[in-house]
Amino acid sequence: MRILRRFSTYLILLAAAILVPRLLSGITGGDYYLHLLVMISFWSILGMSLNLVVGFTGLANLAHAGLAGVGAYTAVLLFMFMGLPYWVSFLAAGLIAMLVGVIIGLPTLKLRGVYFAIGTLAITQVLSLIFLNAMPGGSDGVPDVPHLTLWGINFANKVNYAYLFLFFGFVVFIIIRRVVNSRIGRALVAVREGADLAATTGVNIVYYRLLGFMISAFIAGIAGALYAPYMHYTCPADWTIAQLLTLITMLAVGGFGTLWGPIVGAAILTALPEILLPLKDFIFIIYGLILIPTIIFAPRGIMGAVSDLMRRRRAKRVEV
Amino acid sequence: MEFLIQIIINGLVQGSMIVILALGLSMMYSIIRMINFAYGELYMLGAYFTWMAVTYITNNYFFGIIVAIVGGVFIGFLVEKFAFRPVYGRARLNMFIISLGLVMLFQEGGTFIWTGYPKSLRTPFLDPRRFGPYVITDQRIIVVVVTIIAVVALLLFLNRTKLGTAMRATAGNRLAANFCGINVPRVTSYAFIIGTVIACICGALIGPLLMLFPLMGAGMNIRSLIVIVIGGLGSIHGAIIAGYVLGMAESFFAGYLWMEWTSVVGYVALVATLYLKPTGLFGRE
Repeated sequence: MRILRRFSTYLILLAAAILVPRLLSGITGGDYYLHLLVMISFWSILGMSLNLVVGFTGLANLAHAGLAGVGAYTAVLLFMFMGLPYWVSFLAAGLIAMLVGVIIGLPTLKLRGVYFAIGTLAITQVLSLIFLNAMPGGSDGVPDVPHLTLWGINFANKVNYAYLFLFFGFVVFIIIRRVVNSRIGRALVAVREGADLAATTGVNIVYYRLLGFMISAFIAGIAGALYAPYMHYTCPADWTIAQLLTLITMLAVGGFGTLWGPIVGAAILTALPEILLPLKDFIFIIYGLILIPTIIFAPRGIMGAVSDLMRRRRAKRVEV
Repeated sequence: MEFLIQIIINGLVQGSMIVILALGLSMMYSIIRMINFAYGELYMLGAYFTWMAVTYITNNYFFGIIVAIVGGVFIGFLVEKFAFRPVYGRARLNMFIISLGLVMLFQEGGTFIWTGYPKSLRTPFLDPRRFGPYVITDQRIIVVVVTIIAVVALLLFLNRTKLGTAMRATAGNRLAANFCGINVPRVTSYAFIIGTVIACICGALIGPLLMLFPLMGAGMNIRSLIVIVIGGLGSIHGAIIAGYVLGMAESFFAGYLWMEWTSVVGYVALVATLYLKPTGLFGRE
């Protein structure tokens, strides 16, 4: 029973994750909601992994969208043009994104945060150039990426994709939760709060930062590899600094350095352009207008406010 | 031989553009100790301010430059006061994210106001001038000359005036500067305004040589970032040398090798610097 109570939230969410796509597929216009569900899961996966670097480690990462693009293009090249089985190209996508992350992380993570920011910005631009000039399709992108066939299931319909993305979202959440609540997560937060102090107490700053960045890059690569077959298409414009800005806004709204923040942010910011349809072309103005005041007035976002509220209520209960 | 000299001339112009932009960014970096990623967007605004003045008010390029400068003072003041000042006491990551918010706001705001279609800014100095076999427009000569004037003026300002000394002190150590009786918030604001005005002047001068579009700042921003890292963050001398070297290298690369990969030169130089000597040419720490 205690175990049931302890995991009750997760059990409810799991039940919802199993039921909701099935129910949505029944109603008219359900495909649209399924698409939103897939997009929310996709942005959550990217957001959670970016949060590990930006929120928990406190590093300014501008490469995340580019790394997801590396994953997408690696998967497409291996799977579509070289005919490798999907799961091989899928893992390769994660590994190559991780490798690119290491190339830029290794020199810059030893230095102050500014260098990491500049290094990741540069790698994003280099990756865009490579996508544009050296990848098949050029700026038009690669059309007709085949749908997945995994474990004998053909992912040609939206319901199956929704399950796939929810499954990976769930796995990534568990991984991030596990990492954050482990020695690694504590080391990352210690480095964020005071790098010098952490170093003097024996935390290997570069090692932990690089480890966090590698995990994050791996997940980004995998997210990209999932996205390309779902969209049936991938192009350089999918993986630019604009996607990174969207991600950062999501994290800020949901809350940097919180477990649920990226998911809440992804849900809100995926729904927002759909609600504000007339302003869809200029959604980045709205993102900017949301992002700056959020950072100034509520730096820990929605989930930060929620956890403060819960702590206050718990404290009150103890008083009584 | 003629081709080589033409390439050297182009490199000199290219280098001047990068140097004058990098001056403002370097100034902002020194004072807030974080890169302002929206710097390229300030350059874009300067170009569009000039274009607006020339198109809608009076067709006088010098008036346009003055409008850009005044606009720069306003924008710099507002950005510093309402976006960056509230987060000075916090982790620098906050400033980084604020600057990303400004990038979105300015880029999309620019698209909203001026549409995404490229515009050209006409000036009376765009006719090519021939020196024997070599071609150069007056506008490019102006860029080179203004860069030299700006470098000299900025160095004199920083080293010979009271406000400049206060800025160097604030850049060195905010707390100690405060103890010495320097009004740190005001000095920060002035430094920000000077940086923005430099960006806007660049927009007014360089804009006519290229096309005006709301994303024009992104590429220039990265170039000036690369230059101040290679020169050593916070070092103006380093930025000047690195800027001219990068301009020459890009010009040679575009002239003799592959045009479409020109921007890779900067990135390779940046990554090499980060691996080999991360403090740059003249950086400390």
